[in-house]
Amino acid sequence: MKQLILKILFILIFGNTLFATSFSECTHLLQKIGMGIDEFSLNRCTKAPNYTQSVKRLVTYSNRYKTALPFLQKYFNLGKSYRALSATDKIKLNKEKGKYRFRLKEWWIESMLSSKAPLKEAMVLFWSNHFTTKIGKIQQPYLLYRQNMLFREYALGNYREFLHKIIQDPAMLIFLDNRVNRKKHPNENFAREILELFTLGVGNYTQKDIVEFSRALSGYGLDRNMTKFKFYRKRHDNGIKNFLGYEGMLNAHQAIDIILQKKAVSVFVVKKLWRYFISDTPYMPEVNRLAKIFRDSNYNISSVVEAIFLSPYFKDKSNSATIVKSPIELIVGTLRTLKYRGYPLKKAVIFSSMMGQNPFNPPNVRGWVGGKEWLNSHTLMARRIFIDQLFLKNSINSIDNSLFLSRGGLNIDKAVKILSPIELKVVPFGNFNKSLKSVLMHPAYQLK
Amino acid sequence: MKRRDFLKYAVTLPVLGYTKDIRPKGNSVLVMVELSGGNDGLNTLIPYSEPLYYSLRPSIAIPTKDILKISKSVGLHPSLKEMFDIYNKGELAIVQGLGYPHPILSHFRSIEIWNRAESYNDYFPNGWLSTLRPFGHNIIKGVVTGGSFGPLEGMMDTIMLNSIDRFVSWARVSEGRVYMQSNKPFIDKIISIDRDIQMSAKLLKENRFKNSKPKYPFPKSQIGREFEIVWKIVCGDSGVSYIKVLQGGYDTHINQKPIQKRLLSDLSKSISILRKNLILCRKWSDILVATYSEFGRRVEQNANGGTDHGTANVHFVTGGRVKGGLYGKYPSLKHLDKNGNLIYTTDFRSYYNTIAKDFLHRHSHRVAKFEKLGFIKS
Repeated sequence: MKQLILKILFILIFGNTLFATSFSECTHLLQKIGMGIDEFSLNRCTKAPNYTQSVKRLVTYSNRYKTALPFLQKYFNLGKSYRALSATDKIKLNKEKGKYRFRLKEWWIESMLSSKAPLKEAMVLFWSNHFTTKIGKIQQPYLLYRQNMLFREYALGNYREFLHKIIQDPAMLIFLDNRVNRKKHPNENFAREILELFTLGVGNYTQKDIVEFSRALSGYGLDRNMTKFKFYRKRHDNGIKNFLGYEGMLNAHQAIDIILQKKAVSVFVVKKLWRYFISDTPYMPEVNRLAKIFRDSNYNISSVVEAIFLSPYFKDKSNSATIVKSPIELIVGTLRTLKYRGYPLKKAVIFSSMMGQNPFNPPNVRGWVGGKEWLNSHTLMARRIFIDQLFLKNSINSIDNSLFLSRGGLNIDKAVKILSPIELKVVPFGNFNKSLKSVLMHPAYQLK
Repeated sequence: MKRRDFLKYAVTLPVLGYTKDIRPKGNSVLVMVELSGGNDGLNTLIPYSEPLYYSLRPSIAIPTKDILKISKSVGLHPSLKEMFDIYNKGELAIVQGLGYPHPILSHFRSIEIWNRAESYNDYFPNGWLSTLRPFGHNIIKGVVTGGSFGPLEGMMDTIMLNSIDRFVSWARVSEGRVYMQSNKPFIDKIISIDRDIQMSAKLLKENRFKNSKPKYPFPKSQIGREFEIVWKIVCGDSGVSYIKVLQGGYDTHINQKPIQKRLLSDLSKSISILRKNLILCRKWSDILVATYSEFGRRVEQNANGGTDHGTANVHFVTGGRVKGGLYGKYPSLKHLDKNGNLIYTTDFRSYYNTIAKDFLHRHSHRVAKFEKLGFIKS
C-alpha cells in the first residue's frame, strides 16, 4: 500500500516527463520539416504530453507566429520617367535595382535563420515553390516581398482564400502575363498554369477549359504604376463561359470556386505536401484519406498539415532519409542547428544558387522539381564545400555546439540523433568537431 | 530490433585507378542544345512567301527584305547570319515541321516527350540517349552544362559541369569518402555521384585545354559560357560522347521581337565561334550540334506582341559531317489544328533516328522505326 502511494506520488510529480513526446519523435518531426533543429522548438516538442499535442502546438504556434523581418520599401522609377533618364542614370538605376534584389534574397534567408517557427518558414518555402514567380520578370522587386508576406499570411491558412488572393497578386499577374489578358485578346498563360500547376494537375481539364478560364481571368490586371491589383471592367469578358462542366457568366473568383469543387485539387496539393514532408513516393490510399481531410476542413491548410504529421506513414522510420533536402533547407537547417553566429548572408545566397536554388528565381513556372533533380556532381560538391567551409579554422569558432551537450559534455551520439535521419556509427576522432563534420559530410545528411 | 542502416563512416581508401589507353580516339560527340521555353519556329525559318504569315502576325512578322533567304519560300531570321554562312558552306541542315501526334501544350510534359523520345501517352523512365549502347569505356560518358539532364537522364557516368576549374578544385571534398550501400535509394545515388566526381576530376585534371583561352572568344552569355566548356572538353580529348547545353528564355508570350532577336543572335554567334575553334583543334568533324525545344509557337500572334504555346517546329543540325540543306516539309499555315497550331510534317523521332543511326552508329529502339532524313554524310 505504501508503495502504491509512492508510485502515485511519483507519477504526480514526474508525470510530465514520464508522459512526454520522445526525443526521437521530436527530432524526426523537426528534421522532416526541414529547417534544422533549434533548441526552442525541440524543447517545446519534448515537453508536450504526447506526440499529438506536440504536433498540434507546433502547427498552432507556427500559424500565429509573425516571422518576417522588416524590409525597406522601395519602388523604382519605371515607364516614362525611366525612359527620360540619361544612359548613365539608367545604368545606375539598374545597378541599384540589382543590389536591392540581392538584398531581398538575403532578407528571406535571414528571416528563415532568425525564425522561431520552423514550420512557418517551411510552408512559406513550400508555397513559394507552388505559386512560383521569377524575380527577373518583375520590374519592381518589392512586389516579391509583398508576395512573400502573402505566403506568410496564408502559410497555414485557408487554401481557398489563398487562391482568391493569388489571382490578385501583382507579382503573379506580371509573371504569368495576366496583366495583359484582355477580352479582345485573351492570354492563356495564367489560366493554364493555375490549372496545371496550382490546382488540378495535368489530365483533369481540357484545352477548352484553359481558354474559357482565361476569358474569366481577363481584365484582372494592375494599375498604371504596376504596383497594385486593378480590375478593368471593360477588359473583362462578360460572356457565357463553359468551364469544367459549368456554364455561366463566370468571373475569375467564381471560376476558382468551381475548380475547388473538384476532388483532384485536394489530391494534387496533398501529393505535393507528401513529397515535401514524407517521401518521394506518395501512397495513394493514404493520400486520398488526407485529401478528404483537406476538403472536409474547407481547405484549411493547418488541418491537412497536422493530419500529415500524425499519419503513420509520416511517423514510420522507414520514411526517414527519403527526401533530398533542398539547398535552402540544407543551408538554413545546418546554420540553425549549429547555432552558427553571423554567417554572411551573401554567402548563403551564393551557395544556395550554386547548389541549384537561387532564391526567388526558380528555373521556370513549375518551380524546383526537387528529388533526384537536386543531386548531380556539381551540386553535390557545392553542398559538401558549404559544410567543409564551416569547419575551417577561421569559421569553426562561430559554431555553438550546446545543442549536443548531454550530462556536461559534448556527445556525438546525441549529435547524430539530432542531425542524421538514419543511425550512424561514427568512428571517434577524439576531436568533437571532427566527428561532427563527419556526420554532416555523410550522404544521409543530405536527406531528410 | 530491426536491422538498421549501420553505416560505417570515414574509411579512407585510395580512389580506384584507371588506365589512360581505354579512352577511345576519334570520338563522335553529340551536343544537344535545348532551346528552352519553346522557340518560335515561324520567326526562325520564316515562310515569307505565305501571305497568311504576314496577316496573322501584323506586329511581329519579320519584313521580307530583312530575311536571309534560303529558298523561294523560306528564309532565316536576320539574327542568324553566322548560321546562314554555315548553311551556305553546306554544313548546316535545317529540319522543318518536326512534331508528334496529339501534341501537348504544357512545357513540362512536352519537353519530357522530346527528352525521352516517347509518344504523348508513353512514360519511359529515362532520356532517349541513355538507352544507346555505350562507346568503349568512357570515364565520363555524358556532360550536362545547363538545365536538367534531359535526353541524358539516367545515363551512367554523366556529370553536371559548370566550370572545369571549379570541378577539379571542389572534387577534393568527396575524395576518399567511401560509404556502405544502404536500403535508401538516395544514399546510394550520392555514393555513385561521389564515385563519378572522383573519376571525372582525375580525367578533367589532365585536360590539356582546361586553362586555355580560345582563339575566338565565346559570347559572354550563358550559352557562350556553356559552349566554351564544350570546346574544352572536345578539343581536350576528354572522351565524352554526349553533351547537353541549355539556352533558356524562349517562352515569349509578351514582346517577342527583341527577346527572340537577342536569343537567336546569341545562339548563332555561339555556334559559329564553336565551329571556328573546333576547326582549329581538328575536331569539327567529330562533333554534331543539334537543337531541340519543347514546342513551336502559335501561328497567330497574341495581343501582347508575343505568341502562345504551339506545336511543330524547325531545328538545326551542324558539324563537319553534316550534309547541309533543307529537310522535311514546311507545315501548312492554311490547315491548322483546332487550337490554331501547325500540323507537323515530320516526326521528331525521324530527326533523332538520323542522329542515332548515321552519326552515332547506334540503334535506338525508341526511334528506329521512324524514317531517317539523310542529313549526315555517309
